Amino acid sequence: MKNVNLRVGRVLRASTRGFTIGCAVMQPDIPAFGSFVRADGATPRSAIYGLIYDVSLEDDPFVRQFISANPPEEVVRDQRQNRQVPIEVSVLTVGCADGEHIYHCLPAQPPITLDWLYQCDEEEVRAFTARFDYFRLVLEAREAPADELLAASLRFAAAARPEEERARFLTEAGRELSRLLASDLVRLEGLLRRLRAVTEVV
Amino acid sequence: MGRELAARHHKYDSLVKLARHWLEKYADRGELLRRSAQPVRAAIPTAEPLNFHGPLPPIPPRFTVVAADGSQIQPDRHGAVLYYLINIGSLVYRHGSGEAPLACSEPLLGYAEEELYEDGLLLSGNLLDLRRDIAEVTRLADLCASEPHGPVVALVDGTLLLWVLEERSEEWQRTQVMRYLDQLGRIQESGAAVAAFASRPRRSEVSRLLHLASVDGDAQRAIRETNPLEHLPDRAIFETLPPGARSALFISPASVNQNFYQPAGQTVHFFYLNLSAEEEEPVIARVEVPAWVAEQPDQLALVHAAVVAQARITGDYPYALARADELAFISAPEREALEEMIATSMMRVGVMPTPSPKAYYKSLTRSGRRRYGR
Amino acid sequence: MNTRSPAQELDAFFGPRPAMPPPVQRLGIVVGGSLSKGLDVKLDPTTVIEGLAVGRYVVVHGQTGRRFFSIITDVQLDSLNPLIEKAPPDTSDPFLTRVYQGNLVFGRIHVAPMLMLDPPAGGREREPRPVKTIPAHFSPVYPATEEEVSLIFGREEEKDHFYIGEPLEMEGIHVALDLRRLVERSAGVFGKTGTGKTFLTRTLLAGLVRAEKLAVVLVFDMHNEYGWKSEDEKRHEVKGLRQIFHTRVAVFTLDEESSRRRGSKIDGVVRIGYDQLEPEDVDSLAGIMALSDVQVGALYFLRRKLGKQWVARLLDEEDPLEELEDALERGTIHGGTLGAIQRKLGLFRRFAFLQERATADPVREILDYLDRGINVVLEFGRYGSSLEAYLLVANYLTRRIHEHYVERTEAAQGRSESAPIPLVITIEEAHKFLAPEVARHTIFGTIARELRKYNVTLLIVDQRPSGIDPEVMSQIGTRITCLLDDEADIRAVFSGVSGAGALREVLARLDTRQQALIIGHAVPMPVVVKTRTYGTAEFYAEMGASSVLEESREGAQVVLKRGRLLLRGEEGEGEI
Repeated sequence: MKNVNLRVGRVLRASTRGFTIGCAVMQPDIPAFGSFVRADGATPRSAIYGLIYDVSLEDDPFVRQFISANPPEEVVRDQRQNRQVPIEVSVLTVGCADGEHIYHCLPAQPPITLDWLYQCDEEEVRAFTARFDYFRLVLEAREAPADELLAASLRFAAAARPEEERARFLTEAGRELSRLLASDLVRLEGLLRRLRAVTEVV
Repeated sequence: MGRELAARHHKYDSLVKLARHWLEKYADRGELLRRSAQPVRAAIPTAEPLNFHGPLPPIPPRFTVVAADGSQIQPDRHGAVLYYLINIGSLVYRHGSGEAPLACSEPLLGYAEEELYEDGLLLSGNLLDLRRDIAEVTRLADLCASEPHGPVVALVDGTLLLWVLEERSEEWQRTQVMRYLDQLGRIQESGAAVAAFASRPRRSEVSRLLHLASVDGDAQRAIRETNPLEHLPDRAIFETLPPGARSALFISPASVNQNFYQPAGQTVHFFYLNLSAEEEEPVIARVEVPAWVAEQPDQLALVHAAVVAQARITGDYPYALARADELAFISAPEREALEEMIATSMMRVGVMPTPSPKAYYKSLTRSGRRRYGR
Repeated sequence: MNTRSPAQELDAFFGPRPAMPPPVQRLGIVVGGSLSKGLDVKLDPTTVIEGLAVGRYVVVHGQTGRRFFSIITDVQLDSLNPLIEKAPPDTSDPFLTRVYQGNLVFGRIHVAPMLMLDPPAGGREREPRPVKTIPAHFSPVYPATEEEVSLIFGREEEKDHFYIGEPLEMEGIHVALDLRRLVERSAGVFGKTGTGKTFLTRTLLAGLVRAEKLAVVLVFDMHNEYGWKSEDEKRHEVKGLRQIFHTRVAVFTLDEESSRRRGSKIDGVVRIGYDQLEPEDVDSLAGIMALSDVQVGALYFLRRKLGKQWVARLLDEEDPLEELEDALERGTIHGGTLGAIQRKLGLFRRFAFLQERATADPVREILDYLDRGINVVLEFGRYGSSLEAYLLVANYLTRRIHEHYVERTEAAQGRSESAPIPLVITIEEAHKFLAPEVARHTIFGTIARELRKYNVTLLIVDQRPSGIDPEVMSQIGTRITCLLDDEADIRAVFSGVSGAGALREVLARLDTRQQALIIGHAVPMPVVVKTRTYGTAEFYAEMGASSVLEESREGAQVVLKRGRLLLRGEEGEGEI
């Protein structure tokens, strides 16, 4: 899946914990749940990192009005390749950067201008997930399906690494989780099963 | 009020019944009514009997529909800079190919002196509309010309008839219309057919024809006597058309059709069409075609089948035309973005954009697109 | 030559390697504990718990660069969340297992720090010292390297050090006992029956005999195992001390016939006359002969009254014993008491080594050898199965020999004579001699308590250390213990040794043979060894051939030294 930068159409909500934007993308470019994104921070050269935890398709009057059930192939392709889909994307903040280093903490200020939402490339994902401190931010998120989100983000993080490193990476992630969730074994086991599913796929 | 409405309904129903009765009764009077139709702005009959039903022809396995539509931004005298924008959206839909249609959106920005003014008049209002209409059919002609061999139907929304200001000189009118008709000619040369599609048509040309028929074709009488079907739209009469079938062909009584189109061989014909499929409620649309399509059974059948095929995708409107409309649309954010770009460009060349006070105050009250919060 | 590993050969030739330890995998980190109770170490996820065993050595690297040499005393399993014991994960899933292992569930070891080593100063290694403090939280713990173990133990080349065995899982490292310190105090060899105490004692004695000027031993050989020859469990013949060391060992016997049958070379026969027995000698049998206090008291009275022949006279049924009539009448001595004593003394008639009259002085004969630095083994022949005989003879001889040593030592203090070579008396079934009831009565209790004041110490061999008087036990400087499984015995072995209770688990887990825990005076820190094998050709060669090699060893050292210098390029003339 190629990385597409999203041009932000509307900002519905922006805080230090996360933000929701409206934008229009071609169907294949609809961003994935759990993928890493980056937005410009409040100060120059700073950035805010986040995880996409919700993508909702907005009401498309054209589709509602003009497309019946079982459209022909040409219409399907027209929709997919020629029309942009209006979507709302919700992002959970998991870190920030000051131009040199990445920190797994909430930024001091919410993003002031949200013009572009950049999907992080493999190198960025690797750099961000070199440490696991951001797990805490995800696990504590109330507005997102935390466990699913973390597992999905780790799927991307593992895929961004060379094949021979993936199993070890996921095991290390599992170990960190077992430290964080030692007191909630049921939740831990659930999360680890999701991770294990990732090991089978990746 | 309920009783009032019920009464009105009842009356309406009886009118429809009457009209349909007349359609049957005067079906063969077409020849007689031909000469007197135009003065009373009634539909001019063709050789087909008035109650003719043309069944839906077989839909060809492969054919192409080229649709174009346009929208415009009027020049704003109170804006920072004077310009207009015409945006032509087009869609090339190749039935039976399984391919994605070609979608295109072509803006035309007019800002230079010679673009903004024509004969000393600022291109706005009707003048801008004309410019847009011509741009639409030009686009169609371009697309038809580059379309590979095969059945092609070019579609516009509404009507093929240009609305020109009648108070202007005839010479001026002709110039405008000829520009338009030249493009129709190009379409014809490319081998494609062209049609205009109107949904929910409100015209009553055929009702007037039936009224004329009921007074024996006497135009004077038709004018003098009240037309009971005056406010009955034609589409109500044709709701009995079988699914997919068309009505008889008629010729438009508009003066511009007589004055300009006919000499150019582009006389605009029209027919009504029931788009719906079997067992569905009737959906009546009005389709216009030029003479060279109406008189070519193959082309006519192609237009008929193509329009129905396209409309059945959405249920009641040709898909390609709907998309072309969408592609032509300039959204408010896009418009804002354009204005920003213009302002930036001006600043680059050292001109400071200054909105007029009026515009400035307007902007204060109307702004607030990007607001944070729920 | 000593059996050394190739590395040690090279080290010996070229000189010691610079102190750069090779990279070792960390075992874990210190997470708690105290000096008195030992340290808790949480194992790293990569450490395999099954690879660790109690009794092995680890080194804790403290903050200040100090190293704490410690012994593993317990191995445990632990978890971050105890609930995991109730609901363990699906173990068929390797991913889950890898995640949980070492993190959610992990191993712990308990270690007892014993010695600490300060960082090198002035480029030189420092001496290990007893621990007085502990490392900080999260100090890393490593398995002890061979270099480190050698630093502490492996100095068998040094004078008076004797290679006793190898530490667990460290073949080639030779743990050396400091024999000088071994004989500075009494020592003990303990272990339940069948754990190899005898072999171990024989090995120790061999070491002592070989170290000529250090001490001289006197062995009361109850089961005829130490003198000429014996058998191992596979019925192979093992050489005794006499066979190995020839003229440096003399064998005496109580039972000439038995010795001859067994083919032992004998240097003397011990016979004791009734007229040589004193009440103290009979007193030492009080427990075993069931002599009451009254009866014991009566012995002294009888000796006074009847004179030197008192025993013969008491045993003589014909003797009227008129001297006693008076006392009997007055009630000074009870008739019943007299009768009982006579009956009990009848025991002596069974012992053929007891004669009516002495024809020689066995003490003198034995002392003759001891004074010349020749070790003595006294075989008991058939009398070894009689505890009474063993107690009687051991007490008899020891009491007198000890007296002799007292005289000589005092004379040396007065500078009229040189001090005697220290004597080590080896006794078996020590709890019979040193039980709380008798410890005060016997000479052995005295010897143990007087701490070599008169140059005599004990080497006790026993399978029931709990039977030994605790006060005596606390004077046993070095304890070499094979497997014990009685709680009281285990506690007894550790009594009086500070911080040794932590080793309880170590002791209880020893192999049933050829493994011993050595604690105390003669080792820098407690050590579990796989004891060296007595009775192999190499062993004999190393022991017996050494006297021949002694001279050539001098020469060999010279050659080696010159070679070393040549290789280093320092070909001086004057170094030889």
